[in-house]
Amino acid sequence: MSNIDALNVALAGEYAAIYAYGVIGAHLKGAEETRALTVMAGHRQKRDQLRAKIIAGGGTPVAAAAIYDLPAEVSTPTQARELAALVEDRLSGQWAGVAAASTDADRSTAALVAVECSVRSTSWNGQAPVWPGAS
Amino acid sequence: MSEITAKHMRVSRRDVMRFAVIGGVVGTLAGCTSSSGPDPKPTSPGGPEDPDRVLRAEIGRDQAQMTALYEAAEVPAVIGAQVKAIGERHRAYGQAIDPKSSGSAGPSPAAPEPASSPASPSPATSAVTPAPSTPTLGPKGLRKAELASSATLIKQAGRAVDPELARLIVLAAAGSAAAAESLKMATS
Repeated sequence: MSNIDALNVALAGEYAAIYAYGVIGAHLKGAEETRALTVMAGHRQKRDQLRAKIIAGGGTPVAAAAIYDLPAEVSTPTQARELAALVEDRLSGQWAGVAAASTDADRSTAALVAVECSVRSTSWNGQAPVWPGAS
Repeated sequence: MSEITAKHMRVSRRDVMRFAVIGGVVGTLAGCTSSSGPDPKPTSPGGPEDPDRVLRAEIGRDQAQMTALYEAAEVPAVIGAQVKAIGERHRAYGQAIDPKSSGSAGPSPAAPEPASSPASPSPATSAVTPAPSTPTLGPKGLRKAELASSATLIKQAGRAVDPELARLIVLAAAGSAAAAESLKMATS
């Protein structure tokens, strides 16, 4: 996979995460809701960074989908946490793909993002998959 | 409509294992397309033609040491099964990244040796029981070890020639960091 392709896969994942965190935040309260909104802001930053990097590399950023299907119904805080964990787990795998397609400092940066996503996934539902991104 | 669970974005466990097996071959073939040198020789991960063999062996030893740490750990019975399951991942990481590894925490047979060096004792014995120097850690110590392991793996990923090996190492780093978080939650 080329570097631009890997960046676009991660960008599509960040779009989906931003959408998902809107749903997640709506089903959480207090500190958890605040946390969801903070994480969503972080994913917006990653989206913007990815778009800029793709353009700088001569590629075309993929567009966000108009609408997303959620993998399961989200109507309770527990379901919202599970969705957050799933989104972060998948992003971890996508950022690992970016790391694989990169070299030097870019690889380290992408690897750190993959690790951050994996830790956030575990913090949402307590599960620590052996191979993140395999869900 | 586009699903959040879009299939093309997934990395399945089968994919990871497949990458571990064929990664070295793919890397070699890609390099050969622009080479005018001699015909390529078939290679395998950790084999003599694998440019990442030293890195693989190094990570294999690191992961064997993590496995030994968990085997020697003393944790409250209530989280014993959970901690054991967390520790098992390091065996999987070692086997996926360094398929030729014996799972030993001692010197790896895949590591290059000087031609004149005397025969070293077999490392197989330390695969059975933890090395005498293996410390006995509790949950907090294991968490620190996981965080250190994750940080080391991130650095090691930067040295991988084969991109698919780099991805595998990054996933192992992410899994180690997630394990540290899980240990923190289990003891809080």
